Amino acid sequence: MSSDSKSNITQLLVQASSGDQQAYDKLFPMVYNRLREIAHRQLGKEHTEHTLQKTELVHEAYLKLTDINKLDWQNRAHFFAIATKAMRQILIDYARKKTAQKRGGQQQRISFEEGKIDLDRHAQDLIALNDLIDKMAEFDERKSRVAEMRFFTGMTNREIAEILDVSTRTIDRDWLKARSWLHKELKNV
Amino acid sequence: MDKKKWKRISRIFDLALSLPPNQRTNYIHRLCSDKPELQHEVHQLLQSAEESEGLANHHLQNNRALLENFATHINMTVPEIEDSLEGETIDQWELIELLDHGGMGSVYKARLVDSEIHQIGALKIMHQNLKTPANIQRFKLEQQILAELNHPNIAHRIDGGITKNGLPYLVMEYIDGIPLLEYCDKHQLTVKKRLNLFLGICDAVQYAHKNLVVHRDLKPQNILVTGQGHIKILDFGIAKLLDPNLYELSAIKTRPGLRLMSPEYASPEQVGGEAVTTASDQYTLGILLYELMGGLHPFDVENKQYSEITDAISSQAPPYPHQRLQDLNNGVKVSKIAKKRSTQPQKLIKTLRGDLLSIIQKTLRKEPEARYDSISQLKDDISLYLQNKPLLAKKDVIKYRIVKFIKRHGKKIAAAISFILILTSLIGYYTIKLADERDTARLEAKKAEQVKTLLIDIFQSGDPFSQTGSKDITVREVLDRGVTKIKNTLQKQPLVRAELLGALGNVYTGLALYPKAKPLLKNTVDIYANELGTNHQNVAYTTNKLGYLLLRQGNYHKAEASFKRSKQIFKKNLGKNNPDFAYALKMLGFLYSETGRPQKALSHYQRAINIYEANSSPAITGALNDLGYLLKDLGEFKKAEATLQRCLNMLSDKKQARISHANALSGIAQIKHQKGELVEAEKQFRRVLSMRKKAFPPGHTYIAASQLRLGWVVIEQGHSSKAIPLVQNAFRSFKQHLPSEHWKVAAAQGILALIDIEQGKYEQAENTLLRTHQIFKEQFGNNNWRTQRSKKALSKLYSVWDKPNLAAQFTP
Repeated sequence: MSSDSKSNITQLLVQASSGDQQAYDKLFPMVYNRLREIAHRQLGKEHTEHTLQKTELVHEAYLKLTDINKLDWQNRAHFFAIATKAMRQILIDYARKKTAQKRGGQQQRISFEEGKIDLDRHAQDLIALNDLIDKMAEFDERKSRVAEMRFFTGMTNREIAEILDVSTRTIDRDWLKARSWLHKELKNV
Repeated sequence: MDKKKWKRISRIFDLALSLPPNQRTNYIHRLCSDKPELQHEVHQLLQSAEESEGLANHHLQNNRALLENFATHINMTVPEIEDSLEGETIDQWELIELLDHGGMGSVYKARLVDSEIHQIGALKIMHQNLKTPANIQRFKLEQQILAELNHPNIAHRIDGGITKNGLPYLVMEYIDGIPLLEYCDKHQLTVKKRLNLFLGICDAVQYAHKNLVVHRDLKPQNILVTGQGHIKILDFGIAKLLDPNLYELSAIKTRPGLRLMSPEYASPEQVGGEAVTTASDQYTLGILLYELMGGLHPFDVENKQYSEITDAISSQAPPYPHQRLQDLNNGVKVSKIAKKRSTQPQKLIKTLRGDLLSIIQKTLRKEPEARYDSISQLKDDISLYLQNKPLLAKKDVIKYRIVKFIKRHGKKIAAAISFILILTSLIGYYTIKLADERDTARLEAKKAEQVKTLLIDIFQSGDPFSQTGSKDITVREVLDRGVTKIKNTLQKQPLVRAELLGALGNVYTGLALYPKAKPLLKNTVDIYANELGTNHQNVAYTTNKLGYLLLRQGNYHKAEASFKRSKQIFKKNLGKNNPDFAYALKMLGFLYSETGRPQKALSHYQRAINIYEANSSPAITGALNDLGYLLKDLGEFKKAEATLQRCLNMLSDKKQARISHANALSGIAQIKHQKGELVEAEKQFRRVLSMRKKAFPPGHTYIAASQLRLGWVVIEQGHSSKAIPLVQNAFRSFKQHLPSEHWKVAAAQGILALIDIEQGKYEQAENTLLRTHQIFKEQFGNNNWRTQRSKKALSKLYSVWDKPNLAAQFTP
């Protein structure tokens, strides 16, 4: 990536952090595409011993896309917030596609490692979870964001606390309540 | 689920979890006695808490599997940012080589295929993922603009269209050249040769302006020089049309363009989001000229954050180019820069500080209207410079300053213009003179006196100088330069130096620039103490001023010590019946009244007034004003009003006394307010506010105080929504100039809390009022009217909140 484009993204990020919606609108597709691309490259290789976690995907995107020397932690936090949304979008887009395929009769049922994980089932769960997280945002914005980061980016409570600028203890409590509620609702689905 | 219910469930859930499991059921039952349905919810949630232990990990693992599946089975059809289109053909253009990869799109070197003519172009194509209607419009606008511009120094449009994927592209003249600065350095072009190239840039920009196009992004990378030495300007990607009706396309908003441009080359108005005009391009050209001549960007932009750069652009005066070089303290680097201009460091510096300086400075004015009227004027001045003729810009500098000063501060400050002269010539003159005639201690004193009088003439009435924003930059510049100048040039005349530093310290105090004022005043005290002895009355004068500054900052202990010290010295030197001694008493009195010791304050004011009376000193009005305020605070309204009225009568025949007049009037208005005559009070506060607005710059704390009082009266009349902007303005101003725990900040917050009560934001109001009350209590004591008022406000809050027990607790 050329340094000009890097600094452009860096600048967009700084602007987005200060609430510039336009910058955000431009940034989101860039992050989205980059994450897809990294996922494609890192996870798509067959027979590789990949241990890459989703947090690392986001970290890698961060390093690749931005000029970190020019950013402070708030910008970084903002990046992770955007990346979380992008990651969520990627997963949900794909999950929707999978369930649609299934509905459309294309019974591919590609099971992961000979059926250890039923991906179709997971795709459905994920969509349900996605809707519930949206629902939770209506009455508790922060807990919904905590859940989002835990579920879709795999961040730890400490990382989330740093991003949301509250104490880890607060996030511990938020997370406990968020996951309890989500679990309760999932059971009822 | 509604928020309220969820909040309650969450709380019960937290509390239950803190208990041993066997006690939870009972506890929940008790807490939910009024709403049994909550019980079930909480129990379910508690059960879920255990069951959902591994929920996230489970999902994450599956998510990864899903992602892997996604990665192996889905073709990445979306072109990536990095994906190069090299080798592909778009319509009749074959993309040969990727030239640039920008934020909006990529530029390729392209060749016309299937044609007998050999033609090379630069093909610009938008990134796939930026394909939004607005961006496409912007892209089309660039095409339209380029199609209209035919100038040898502007890269022209050859072709354009839309790809199969619906992406617009644009083919421009391919320029085989290198960026401007690089070119000049590579060829070690002299300053004169650089100026000739710069004239070529000006030509192109002037041409664009004539065609109602502002480029808005004239950074050096967008200006290429060909092998033959021709200038070519590229990238009208964020250009703006001055006449939005020119083409249908331009209906799109071009305003956000500011956000897209490189901040290093943005003008103050671009950074500030104000209207961008041809003057903005001129400013950018000024930065370019600065860099072209001196080799450095005017601001230190390397490794700076976006906001730091924009702050510098909007609020810092650029240093002189030669000073910028000298400040580097890096001989090697300066030599290199000079060498690239085929000259020596000393010669370069001399060139930079000459007439060239005036040209650069004029283009870099923060106010667009202060720059050259047009690019053609800028060109004229450069041509004049190249012919060694007197410049347009130079004539302007002094005239501009004078006009601006007078406009801003009225005729009484016209003398201020001479300040620059005083510091540059007068001080120089005296310094030499004093060195020559060293037998004349008396002369020294006399001249110091003259300088001081002059300065004080200029600045005493300078209290209302502006203090924030870009407007006062010339004033601040003058002052700051004054400080440096005095420090550097008057080493051997400590007393003259002290006088000037002291005077400047007072000016800074008047501007509420306390951190700047403090070291100056301290320094002055030290010099006097060293030169004249610790008990000299000059020490006392300055110590008194220092005390005032400390008081303003809320540093009461040190302020008290200062006033006491100066009082002591005055007594020793001048006796107990001198007006200066009285002034120290008055200041002490003011301190006592601010710190909850009204009786002490009263006796001090009274003593001061007696001395002033005995000496028929006009300074009595200040003491009367302060006494009036104190009496009002003590609830002695009749006496207070009479005292303030007496003060007003004595002021009425004085021209300069608008500020004092407003102060006394404000005191009377406050009495009316406290007596409950709200309509009359409001009328008077409005009058005071308009007087202060004339005397002080926007954002001054005196204006804030008036806004706060007016807002309060308006609230008490039941129009709290009308008061909001007033009170918020006041709060912002106090917060900016005072420490956050200062009682005035607390007072503004307290008034904001009154609005919160009206709006039903009880919890917020409670927090604020408790804090305000606490601060007042600590500052003024329990019996002070402010403390009582805050108490009353709390009692009112609790009674409308329906908490009668608490309300009773705070009923005065």
